[in-house]
Amino acid sequence: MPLAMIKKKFLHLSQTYGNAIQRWPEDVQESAHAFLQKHPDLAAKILDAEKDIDTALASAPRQEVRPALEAQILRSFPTKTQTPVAQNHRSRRWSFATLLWPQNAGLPAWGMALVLMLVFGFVGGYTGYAYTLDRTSATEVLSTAFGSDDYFLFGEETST
Amino acid sequence: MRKYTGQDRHRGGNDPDTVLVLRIANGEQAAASELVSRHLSKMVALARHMLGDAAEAEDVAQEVFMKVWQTAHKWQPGKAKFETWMHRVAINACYDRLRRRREIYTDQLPDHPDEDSPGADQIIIEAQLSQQVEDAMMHLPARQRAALSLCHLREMKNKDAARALEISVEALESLLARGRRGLRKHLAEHVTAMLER
Repeated sequence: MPLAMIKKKFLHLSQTYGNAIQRWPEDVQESAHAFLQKHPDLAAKILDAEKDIDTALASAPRQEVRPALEAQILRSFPTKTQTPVAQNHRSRRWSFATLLWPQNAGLPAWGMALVLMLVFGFVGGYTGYAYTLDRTSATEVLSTAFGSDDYFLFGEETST
Repeated sequence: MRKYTGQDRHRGGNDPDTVLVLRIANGEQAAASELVSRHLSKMVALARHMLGDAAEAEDVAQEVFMKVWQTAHKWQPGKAKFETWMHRVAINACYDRLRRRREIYTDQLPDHPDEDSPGADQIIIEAQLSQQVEDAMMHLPARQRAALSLCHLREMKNKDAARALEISVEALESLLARGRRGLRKHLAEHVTAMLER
């Protein structure tokens, strides 16, 4: 590679990463050291030009961590029963609550909506059809649908 | 409760935090304590350089760890280093605060040490220089400040820093170079004036 190009790259790296070659990307460090050995005066001049900014950055304020802060952060750590994983395990158990709202059992909201639509569609379809028939036929329809003989049909109890 | 295994260690690759995060997801306080002692000072330092305010830096550090507690169970080892993700969370929290801030510049110097003590002049000059550097940093655009903070002050590798900032390495290098130029310009104007006083 011509010297001008190597110099340009060396200059770019020093103006980007500073005057300490060990802070440059690992894959360029070897060639940078080779350039430094081959052209020590030129390389040193380029690196020195960045020294002031590196010195300035090194003098940027450092903030000590207060032990109280560490304790405060650790106090915010949830106890085992509060951790998200523990909650997930607890909620995956089937219970009365999960029957009311299966999302707790891993079924998403849209799944719950689909199940409800199917149930209401099924019930509504059969019931609506039954209301269009006479009493005997309606009772037969409902009996077929729900497998029981006793219904409150048209406001009065009936049986087949 | 899921137990972390040797497989998890393997999946974490070179990320030393993977096992800790899995233990945190399982509610282990000791793992949380270890993660805090490993990364708290880095988060505070980064936020301090980004915000130039000690109290706000502590708040940001707290926010980062709260986020860790909340999302540890979702962490998928192998995608990115956990530390890089933490830096990203901290940087985003700092950006949010900077957006909300009306005034980002302060002329206040840190509390002076006892001016009668030996070497007090030197200490004052150092403190003033340090404050000038922080002020100069605060004059840089937030993204340049974040890049400088990660690469120069946190000594993060360029690829990790680029990931933390969600940009390419080339874009990171551009931010670094512009940040250094901006810093030099500001310091040349203010530090020289201060030393001449």
